[in-house]
Amino acid sequence: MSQLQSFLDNSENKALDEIHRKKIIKAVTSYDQTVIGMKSEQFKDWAHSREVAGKIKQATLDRLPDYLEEFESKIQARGAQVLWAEDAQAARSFIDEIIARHKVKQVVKSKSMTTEEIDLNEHLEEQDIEVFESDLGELIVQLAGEKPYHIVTPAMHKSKEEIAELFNEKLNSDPDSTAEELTMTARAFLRNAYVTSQIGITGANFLIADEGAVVMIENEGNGRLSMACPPVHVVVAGIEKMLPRLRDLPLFLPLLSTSGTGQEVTCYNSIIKGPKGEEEVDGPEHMYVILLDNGRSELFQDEEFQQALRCIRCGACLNACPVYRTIGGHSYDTTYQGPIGSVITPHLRDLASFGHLAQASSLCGACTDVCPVKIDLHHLLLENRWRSKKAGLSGIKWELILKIWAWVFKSRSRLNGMSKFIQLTQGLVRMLMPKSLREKVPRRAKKSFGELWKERQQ
Amino acid sequence: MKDSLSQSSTARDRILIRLKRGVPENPAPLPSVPQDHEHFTSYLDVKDRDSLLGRFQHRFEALQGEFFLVDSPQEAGKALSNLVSGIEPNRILSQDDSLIEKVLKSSSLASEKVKSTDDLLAQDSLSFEAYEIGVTTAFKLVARTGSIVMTCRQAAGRRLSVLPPLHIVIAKASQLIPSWEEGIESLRDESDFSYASFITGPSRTADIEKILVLGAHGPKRLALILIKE
Ligand code: SF4
Repeated sequence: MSQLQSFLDNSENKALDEIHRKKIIKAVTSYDQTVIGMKSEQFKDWAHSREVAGKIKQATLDRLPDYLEEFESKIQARGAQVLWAEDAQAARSFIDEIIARHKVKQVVKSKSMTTEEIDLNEHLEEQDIEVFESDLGELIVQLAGEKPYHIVTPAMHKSKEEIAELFNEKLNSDPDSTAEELTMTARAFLRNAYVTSQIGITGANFLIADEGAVVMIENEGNGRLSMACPPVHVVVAGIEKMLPRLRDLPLFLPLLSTSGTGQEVTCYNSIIKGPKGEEEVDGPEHMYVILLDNGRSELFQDEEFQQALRCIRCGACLNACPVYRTIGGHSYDTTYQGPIGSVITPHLRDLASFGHLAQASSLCGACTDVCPVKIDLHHLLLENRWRSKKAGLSGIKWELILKIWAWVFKSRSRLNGMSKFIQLTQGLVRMLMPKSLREKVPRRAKKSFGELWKERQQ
Repeated sequence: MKDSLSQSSTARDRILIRLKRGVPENPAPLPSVPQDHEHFTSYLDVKDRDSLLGRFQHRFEALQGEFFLVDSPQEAGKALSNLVSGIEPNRILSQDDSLIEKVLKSSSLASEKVKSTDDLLAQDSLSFEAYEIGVTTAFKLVARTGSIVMTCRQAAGRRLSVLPPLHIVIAKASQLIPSWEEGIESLRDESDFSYASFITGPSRTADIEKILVLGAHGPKRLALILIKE
């Protein structure tokens, strides 16, 4: 089945699935309330702060090659090794080599969208390497054999009861467990994994040029454990994660946590500058940072789309999107769902397979309104529609319909004519319709607005 | 690794070349570093210790941190005794530090031999999992958000403050600073560390139906004994 067809089928199923809808509405409503509250509680002027953040991120992109080089030399000076991967394949083979080199049998991972992007889990499991996802949400989707539903809250689509059932089946917990008991089950299940894994793989929320640092934020502590216990720490980060200065963090960390989960700051904000230092008591002996391009440098050269690389993956645009709320995260069938996913996926993968995602938008602009780094998301969606059209991907039928539509709407008299035509034929057409449809399709008003207006003028 | 190193360096060149093509000729200037007072309602313009302390305690307790304000290391010893009561002394691990030692001496653990990270290192048996409680100092305390800043030097490594289910921090009121701005600035001065962390409350998750649960993977409880003198 084509990507488009399965998208249409899945979307329809999810849109009509009442239970799914209830779960999502519950989750986004609670998100909305906390986030709106935290924005005004913490920020003097949210609009101003995101303006500043957007400008800093754009200025970072304007100098991205320099910052990447600065980051690389600083973090290498402290003993980490930086590896540049042009695509997913290259990133995976770096990890293969690291695994062979350190004789790894078991991996503990903390939440990272870039490793989703390179399908790392599947790849490792094929080689009989055991992979422990340690973030609770990620663990839930891993056990369920699913993909993350949301870039920030991967298991947002699962109710407590569903998770209890899943944990009962896979981890032998009580089928009536509460949220707290389920969390403790996950804790106990993973406790050992941190100390027995030979390698911890994490993502990064920011890379800092001036100090050569990787920054990672989280609430659970699984990230900290993944880079404290195993002897090897591997970071997989997109090249766009850069910020120029450590001093940018006091703005960006609260901005990200407020947009992401409505928290003032997340529980743990870690700054990592390398493997264990000489005088330090513990920490990984080796640290690798894989800088992932995977289509980003192409997007970077696109004047219109470069701004999409400002994204700090807060997930706010997903939660705000009426389409995401209706069709859910899995329907997109992409690593990055929602508006930002629909903007970048056609470029990072291919326009022919993912161009249709630009239509999964009402162009209401809710995404653009909430984005903390002011990416003009809905205009980029519109631009993607245009790109698909230019590439001849819209199909003959659609092109023809649009041509006729344009031809009619370009002239007042043709439009009036069409309107009259509908009035004259609607009786007959309605008779031919099945009853169910007839009840839904409204009748054309007796007189059009134009006609009424004319009468008034007389 | 040789192969992949050469692969990486070719990739590096190619990525940088592509990026350079997308860089504007005359980029807008990089905005100056963001100032806390410009962005945050809760920016504390005060330097007096009492307001910093008030704010810190308010935020720290709101996140369910356990806060103990004491006048001296001797009193801190009492607070510590309460926290560790019922726990086998050999399940407690502390950072090697003179302040902690002082506090331990005035506590119920005075006659016990509480293990320190250095002992573990000497024996080279880092079986951290066995410990119920980790006792560390802090680097700074950020009043605005009730956060404890640690570097892997002050906190004696990376594991001690995250692996045991109860993390006890012993710090002095003089370590209070108003904002993250200052926290980050002092980390910049203290450049010699491989790992630093801003810790804000005990570990938590809301991954199941957005229900808040404390103690996901990190410490279930976080206690701070703050010495005023
Ligand atoms: S595009 Fe903006 S709102 Fe969406 S995830 Fe990225 S930063 Fe957040």
